[in-house]
Amino acid sequence: MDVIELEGGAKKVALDGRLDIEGTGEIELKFGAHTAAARVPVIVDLTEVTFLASIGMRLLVSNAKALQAAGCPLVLLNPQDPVRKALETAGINALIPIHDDETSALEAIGVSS
Amino acid sequence: MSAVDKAVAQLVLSNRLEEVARMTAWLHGAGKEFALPDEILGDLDLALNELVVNVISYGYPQGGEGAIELTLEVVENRIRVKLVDDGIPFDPLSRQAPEAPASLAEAPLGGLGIGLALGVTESPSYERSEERNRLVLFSRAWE
Repeated sequence: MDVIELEGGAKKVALDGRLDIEGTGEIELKFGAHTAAARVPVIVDLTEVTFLASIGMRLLVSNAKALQAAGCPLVLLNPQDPVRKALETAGINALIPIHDDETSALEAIGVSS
Repeated sequence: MSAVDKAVAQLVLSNRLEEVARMTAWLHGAGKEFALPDEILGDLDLALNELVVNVISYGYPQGGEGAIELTLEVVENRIRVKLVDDGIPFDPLSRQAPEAPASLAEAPLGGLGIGLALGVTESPSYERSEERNRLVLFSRAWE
């Protein structure tokens, strides 16, 4: 997991590999620390994620919920085909905005690119 | 037990979550052997992950050793998946698909797994016989 600080305290968190039960377990504490606990606008970059199971979606939804309650947006960036399909099948795309390019993701969280 | 031949692949897992990684490796090996299109393999990866994690997590509330048998079979241009487990009776097809939440704030955190598995596969059927759950479903057809 790579974390990039953006202007105004916002962050881009880039995930990679398989977000199955094992992969999600490895990152959940650190991910939560950089998102929900940090209370800053967040872009979650999914470009390098190859597989997303319900346990990984749960991590995304729980942190997005907590951020929303704190008045901060969380958006998803550039999921690849299998991951996008999983998000759409579960209806997550209706709950958390998905952006295909970084410029629109930055705009969505209020950071000028 | 693990074998892949021309048209059938089988695997027996025990009811421990560490087994999921072994299943994933086996599935990808079988996908290569069967020359499955990436999209079909991705669907099966997701479906089997969700279903098997569910069985391991909730099928053995009393603990003890369990056996989960997976069989993939090429049937024309689809994969027939059979999942047999000796956990407590559970029909995944009896669950109503949850209604889509209207907003993030109302979204539940759990309960997505079975809907996902059934959403990326077709023609599921379930029976309980000889003290085993028997679920059969199919991948989508490929060109």
